[in-house]
Amino acid sequence: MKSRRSPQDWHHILGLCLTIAILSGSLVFLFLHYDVIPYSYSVERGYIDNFLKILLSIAAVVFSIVIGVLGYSLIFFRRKPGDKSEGSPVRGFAPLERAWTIIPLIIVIGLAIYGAVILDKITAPGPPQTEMEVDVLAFRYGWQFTYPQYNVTSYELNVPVNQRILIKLQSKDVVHSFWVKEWGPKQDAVPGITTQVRYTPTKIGQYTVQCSQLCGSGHTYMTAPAIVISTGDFQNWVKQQQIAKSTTTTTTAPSTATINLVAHNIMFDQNTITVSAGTDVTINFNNIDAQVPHNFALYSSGSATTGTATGSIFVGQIITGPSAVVYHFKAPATPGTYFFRCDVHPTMMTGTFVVK
Amino acid sequence: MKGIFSLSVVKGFLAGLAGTGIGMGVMMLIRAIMGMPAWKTGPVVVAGILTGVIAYLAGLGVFHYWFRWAVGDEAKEVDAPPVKGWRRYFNVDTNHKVIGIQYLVTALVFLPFAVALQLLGRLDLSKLIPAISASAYESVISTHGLIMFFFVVIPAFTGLMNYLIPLLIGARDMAFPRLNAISFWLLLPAALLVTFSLAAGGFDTGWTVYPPLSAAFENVGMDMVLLGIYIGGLATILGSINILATIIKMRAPGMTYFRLPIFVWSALATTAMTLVFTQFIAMSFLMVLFERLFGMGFFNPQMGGQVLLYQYMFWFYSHPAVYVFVLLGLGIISDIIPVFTSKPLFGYKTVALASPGIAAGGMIVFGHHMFAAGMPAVLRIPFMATTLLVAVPTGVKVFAWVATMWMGKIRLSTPFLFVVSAIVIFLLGGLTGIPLGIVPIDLYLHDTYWVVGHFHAMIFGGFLLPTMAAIYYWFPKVTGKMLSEKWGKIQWALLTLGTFLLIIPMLGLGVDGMRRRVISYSPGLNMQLLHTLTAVGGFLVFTGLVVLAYNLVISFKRGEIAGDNPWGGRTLEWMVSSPPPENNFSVIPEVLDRPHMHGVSGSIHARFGNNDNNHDQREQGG
Amino acid sequence: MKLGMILFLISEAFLFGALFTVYYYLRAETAVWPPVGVHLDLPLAIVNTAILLTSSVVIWWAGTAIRNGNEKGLSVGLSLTIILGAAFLAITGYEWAHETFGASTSAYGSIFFTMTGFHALHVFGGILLMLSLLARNTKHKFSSSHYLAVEVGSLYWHYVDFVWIIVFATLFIIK
Repeated sequence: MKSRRSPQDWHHILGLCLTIAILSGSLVFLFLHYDVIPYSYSVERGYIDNFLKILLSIAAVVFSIVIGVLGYSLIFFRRKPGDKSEGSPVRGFAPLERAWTIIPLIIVIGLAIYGAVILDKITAPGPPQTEMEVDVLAFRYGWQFTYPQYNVTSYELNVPVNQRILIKLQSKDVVHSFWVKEWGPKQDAVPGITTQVRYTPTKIGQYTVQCSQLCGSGHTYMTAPAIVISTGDFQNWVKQQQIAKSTTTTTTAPSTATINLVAHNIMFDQNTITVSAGTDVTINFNNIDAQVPHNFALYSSGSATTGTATGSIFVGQIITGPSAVVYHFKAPATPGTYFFRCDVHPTMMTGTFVVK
Repeated sequence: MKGIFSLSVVKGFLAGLAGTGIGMGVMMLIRAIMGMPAWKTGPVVVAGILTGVIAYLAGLGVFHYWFRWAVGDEAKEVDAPPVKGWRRYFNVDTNHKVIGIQYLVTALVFLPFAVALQLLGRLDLSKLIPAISASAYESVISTHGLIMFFFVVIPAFTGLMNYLIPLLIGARDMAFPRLNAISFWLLLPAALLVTFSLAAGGFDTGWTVYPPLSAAFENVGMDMVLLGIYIGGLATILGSINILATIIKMRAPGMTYFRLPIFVWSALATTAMTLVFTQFIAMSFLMVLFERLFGMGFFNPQMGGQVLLYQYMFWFYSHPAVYVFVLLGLGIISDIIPVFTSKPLFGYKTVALASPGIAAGGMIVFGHHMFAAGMPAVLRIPFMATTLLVAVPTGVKVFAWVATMWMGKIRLSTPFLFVVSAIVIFLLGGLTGIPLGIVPIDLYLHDTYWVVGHFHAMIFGGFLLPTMAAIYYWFPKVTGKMLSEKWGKIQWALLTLGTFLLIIPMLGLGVDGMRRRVISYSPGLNMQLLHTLTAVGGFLVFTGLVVLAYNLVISFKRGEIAGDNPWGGRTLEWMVSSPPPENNFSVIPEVLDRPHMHGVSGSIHARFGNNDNNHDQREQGG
Repeated sequence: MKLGMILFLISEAFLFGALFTVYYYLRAETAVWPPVGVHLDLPLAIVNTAILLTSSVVIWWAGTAIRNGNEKGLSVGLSLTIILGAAFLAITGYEWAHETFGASTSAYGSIFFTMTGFHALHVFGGILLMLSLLARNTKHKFSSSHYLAVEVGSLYWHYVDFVWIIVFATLFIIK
């Protein structure tokens, strides 16, 4: 089939190999040396990132080969002006065709096997008692976290570092998806079933849970803080939550300050509330957002950027709109600037509570 | 002015309006009689749409022949065109070439519209315009997706198949010309429904329309879209029947399967898929519509339904659908490269068989869209294996292409330039798909911009750029004039640069963790820069389309005369005049060998008749 | 022409395939299926099945008739088929009106009515096809050498019958 190669043919093949080597070499170097995906902060991310590097390197070689042949041909095999002859009548070359079917087949099978191995490492359940279970409820538009071990419920996901967590996901309404990108995989929350995903975060810090399945117009802002802290800090946080639960009461005391507060379009209608120290405060809270839960909660300090708050003073009952509720509590005796927020939307609905 | 009322499209449109009104009225009457409030948006609008579409078809005149057949009359043949010239394109015409152009023009009209829609979204994300509402954004991107699939890609490819297949196989028309006309005209109400859904409140669900969100979403825009796509799906199925029957039954003598151009092989594989799989998206959309209209509960867990069922059914169609979107483009590339390299297609038989191979493989990979969805965990592994396996026949095609170029005699004409860009972008798309096929990596990349970059690379490389190549390659055959090479190269540069600028930043955004379908993102990193670059890429693409429009118009008027075979191609369409006669071939050619046998001495693709008269014995090749 | 009908029927096979997929998937994923409160009228369904099977025999006989040039036989056969088809639809309608559950009661109800509904729609289409064949026969369009349309129509009718057998088995026997 193939005619005897002329010296010129060998020059071409040599030139081609050089081109491919340079191209693939530089790309592979890039991929192996730089973190393609930033912020790798969990064990699972480690596996994913490594595999991706290998994959991209293989892809770089394939890409270089094809582009090499393509580019080389475009430069060196142009029809010269005035040349009316045809190209060489090569119709095929069976050994080459076999090679480029079988080698990719082998590579692809290898990748599939390795993929299965890595998937198992990421998802396989650990020995019992080594995993901490967190039950997550997804709804339009927020997240609720329940720790069955401690009987604690929160709108913030706090976890101890280097601890494998088992997340059991449910959805109240439509399909959502749980994702903390620094931790790696995501998992859909599907109405009617409970799905699972596991993480082992390795770095202390504050991250964000982001919903990753379009769930309506609030999808973009369906987030919650995901906070990795030391084991000691975590135990403190758990204790704090358990105390806060038992002090959420609404007393019927005569009020001396009445405030009307509205929650609409995931926002409060006021950013600053001012009362005198020690007054009995009544808040007529109106939640206009249909099917969206809100509340009013008062803390000694907090941040909208990180979505965290400390020193809870009053945590109001969460209501789902459209509905209203009346909160009663006593303002702090110490004048100063305090922090209020909606616990369900801690990064979007916050304000300053001034005590004179 | 009177003339305009003789055009089918006008008659059909007016009849459609009347029918819609009547249908809505009747539904309101029925509801009132049954004691329900007369007006309820969903049922009334849907009833109106159904009667409207039937009235529209009747007004067009497509039922005329069959109605007469059904009551036992001999119908007057409506095949001879009653009108001439430009009016044919606004009428129900059964000639495959007219229908092909009708499809192509429809696609080329909706293409810039859909691009412009998405540009709105891109500007919003680059923070270059004041933010639009979440609902508007979601509706815009969802509509962009659906219009592109059903009213740009599918019509463009159907148009090319309609125009070219009879010519490529040596036939005088398609197997069922009247059915062919109906398939086209059904497309218009479908397209209008989806487009005008934007005015009716849009739909917030993404093009994938997952329930429970889609079942609960209140606006009637959702119902319009569900029905519109159902009707469009019907049109596609009817078209597939036609194309398959034509290829199977109407090839010229000597045209064995292994002498067909790769375009026809791709058409076989593509229409085999659309014939069967479209029913699944039709059914899944219809079931969502039934949930909305009749309170049915297929996907409602509180009624015993299963949410994931929709996803399985939807992706069982939608994955093969994406192969439908690219296989023909790959066929176009395979048929254009030999012409501009003057070499036979390397490994013709393997490339030909790779088309059904990809189609078959594509049937069993659909689960890879659902790795994070909550399906049984171990089920993900076979889908990962099949997804990676389907890369092999795809790779075979790419390798064959560049092997054809090696040691060829390359002419850098515009069609070939587009083919080169297509190959590079398609390769990029394929390689970025591999990480997505691997479950643990997909669990990170799913629902990020990496996916968006990947599939746009596949669609630009497998559809848009090859279609541009096809337009430049076959425009001379269709019109008898050449498109301007100068403007062609300008358009090529704009489109190629635009495509790269569009796709590469998306891949970057994806690894940074930017989610899909969101209207904003935390400031910082380099996301705003990447979004802006993507938007610039999109604008360059749009500008390229404007240049195309300009080139089409001026070349049609003043282009250089093309002659029968301006490129030196070795397939049957170049054996007839440009434009071809009404019935393509006065004498059906006899096929002697494979196409594209450039340089193989003594090879003749086909000839007319057996006599030695050189004028009649026009040959291809030798 | 026959190829066209065959291709169409292949496509429709996937339509019904989708419906069966829904039924069997829901059945596999649900503990109690059919749900409580569902009582199906098996005897009536058997009667309906018999009617449809008979109609297939009749249309086959009608096809033989025209192949032998017997136009009158064709007319009789077609008319009988139409009557049987109409009877099938009438009984289906009666069953629907008397079901103990509705389409919006449960997912089971939804798929039950959708599946039988689409089948009934196809029977209705078949009846229209038979009516037009009858009309054409009245105008002497068929003969012993010219009966392609009858063949194609019979093919469609047998197919609809065949699909019913699977629907019947699924809904009333396998459950």
